[in-house]
Amino acid sequence: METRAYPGKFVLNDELVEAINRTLLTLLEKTDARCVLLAGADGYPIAVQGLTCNMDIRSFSALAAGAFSSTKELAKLAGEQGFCSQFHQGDKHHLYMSSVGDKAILVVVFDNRTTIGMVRMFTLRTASQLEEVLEKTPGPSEEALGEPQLENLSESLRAKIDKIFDEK
Amino acid sequence: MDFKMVIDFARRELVCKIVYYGPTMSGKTTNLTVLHRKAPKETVGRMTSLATYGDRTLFFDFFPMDVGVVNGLRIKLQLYTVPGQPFYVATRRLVLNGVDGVVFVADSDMRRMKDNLESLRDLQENLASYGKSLDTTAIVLQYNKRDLPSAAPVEYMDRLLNVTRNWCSFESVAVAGVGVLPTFKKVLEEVLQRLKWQT
Repeated sequence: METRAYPGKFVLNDELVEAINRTLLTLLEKTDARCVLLAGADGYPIAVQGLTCNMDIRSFSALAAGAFSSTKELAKLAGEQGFCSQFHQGDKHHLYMSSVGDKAILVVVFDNRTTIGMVRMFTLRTASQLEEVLEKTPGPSEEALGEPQLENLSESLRAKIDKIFDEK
Repeated sequence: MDFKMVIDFARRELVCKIVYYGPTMSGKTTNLTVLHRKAPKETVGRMTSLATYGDRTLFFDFFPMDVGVVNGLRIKLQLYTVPGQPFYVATRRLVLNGVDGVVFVADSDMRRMKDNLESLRDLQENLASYGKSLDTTAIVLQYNKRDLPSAAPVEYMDRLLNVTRNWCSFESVAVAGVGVLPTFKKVLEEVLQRLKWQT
């Protein structure tokens, strides 16, 4: 039987998204943070929980991934493989970021209702749980693909882009 | 390790990362600015430019675009530029993390041919750090600044930059919006063509 896959593609299915959201929610509750976000290493927001009021999540994810990658390069220059976490301290709001393997970044936005110690402890624990969850991401199968047709997607997208830019 | 295109079947989303690459001052940010300006507001997010100094990009420019639903999948794009100056090689490498398609924006000025070649070599090296190559990545060439009196002939630039790979190339005057959209459409097409079942 033919085995079909998109090698190397990162796939999220309902089960995984649910597991990720559950894990993020637990972290949010335990740390009393404002919000928690899981972003792909390429800057794509995967899941978010908590109060994100008016926060531009897509830009936030891209910048977090950029900052994290940048720090990784700094680590290399300092003779380290990478830094697994980083902390940014503000007046009222603070950021704690932790790598989730090499696939994603876990970001916690918190304020003075909680402490950096609590946030660090639970975030590192959650990051390793999420790493296990993401390890389970399946290679896309024909079955997983379901209805959406990748055939002719290129042509359909071209027509859509034409429409978007001509509509203006 | 590389982190590739996200296909989110739970949300029926396909996310593609496109990076505009090329030597300094070749027009990468201009391409992004033109696309951002021409696209309807509801399809694009805020354009973020990081730490620009004069006309130079020091980290990256970025904006997200939501194309909408195509064949049952919501297509989302992330458009990035890299800083062109040779000094920022580490930054360019990190922006390439997870890239699906590259628009190589070459400067048509005859005096910039060496810079174009160096930037292409730099792209090759940086892709290699993610286990990718110029042959396995969706790449489209854009010969920008065709309005310059000192512009090199297209045939010459083809021989210099495109002799072995036969990438699609477009002439452009990005600052006037010319050639920006065809380049953008082509790179998306190239990315999606690589999304084929492999047996």
